[in-house]
Amino acid sequence: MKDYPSQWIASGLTCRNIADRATDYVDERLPMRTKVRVGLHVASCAGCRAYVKQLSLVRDATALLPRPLPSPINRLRLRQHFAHFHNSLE
Amino acid sequence: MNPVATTCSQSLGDAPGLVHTTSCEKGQALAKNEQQLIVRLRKGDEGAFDELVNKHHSALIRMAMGHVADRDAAEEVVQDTWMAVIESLDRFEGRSSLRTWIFGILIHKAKDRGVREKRHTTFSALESYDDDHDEAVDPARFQQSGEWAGHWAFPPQPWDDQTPEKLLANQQAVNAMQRAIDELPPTLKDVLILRDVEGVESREVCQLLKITETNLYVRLHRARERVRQAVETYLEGDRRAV
Repeated sequence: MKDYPSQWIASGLTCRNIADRATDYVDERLPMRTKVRVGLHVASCAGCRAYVKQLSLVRDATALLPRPLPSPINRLRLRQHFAHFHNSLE
Repeated sequence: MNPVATTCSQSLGDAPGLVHTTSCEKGQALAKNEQQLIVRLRKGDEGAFDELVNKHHSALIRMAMGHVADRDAAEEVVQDTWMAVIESLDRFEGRSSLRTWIFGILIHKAKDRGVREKRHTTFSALESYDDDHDEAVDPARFQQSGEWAGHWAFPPQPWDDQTPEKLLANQQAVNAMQRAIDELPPTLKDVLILRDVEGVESREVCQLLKITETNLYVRLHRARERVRQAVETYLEGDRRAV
């Protein structure tokens, strides 16, 4: 991956600006003008490209993390309470 | 009024486009599934209750752990939350999604328990600290002066061909992520769990946590950055070991 510093200047943004707005960028919350400027910088800067990709990957991986379940005894108590409560309404 | 329909029209009014339309359709499908689930729950279908518990239990535990002393206390708070869900289901009016309603009960119970554990002073201190200060990315990673001030001094190294699935196939990487999430202060943990783990819409997260959307995304960015740092530290350690 190559860097094109002249484009960083053209974007008017520093890498620190990009890092500050990276979540807004990956979640597509930026106004169009800002999005274009950030996109221009990211396309020309290997460090920012890596940062934005990493943040996006972490966001997607977080959604897929393993989900531990309740202990068997707590699960049993909940089922019993659910069944008992429903029966008491009938 | 159907809450999903309101969301869709608002979104389309804000910024028309394919992304909004797609998320709108997804929202409608979710709402339909949720309505079916509520009908089954009200009929006393234990399978439906199991589904609900399987879907949200771990996120509720993680969130509760930000407010109480330890894992055992978090388990108790979540167990109490489920009991309250069972007992109040007939009174659920659908003003929010079922998921948001459940997390609202959890937050109330966890904060209440946290206050009883006399930990509220610490939380208040953390909240003001996280809201007002602290940059997400370590400022030392950027050039401090010269022609390239504000540009990377220590840029992140590419994670090559990593994908979420590959990352999660590595148990140590998963542990690093989970540890980073567990160590987040409650203000950051709440937004990360609701938005990224549970996929709750920003508008609902803001209502639930009583924060502005700007504040939500500031917190979300800091939370994601801490998890990213944990993965970066793990992967770089792994590279050095090779």
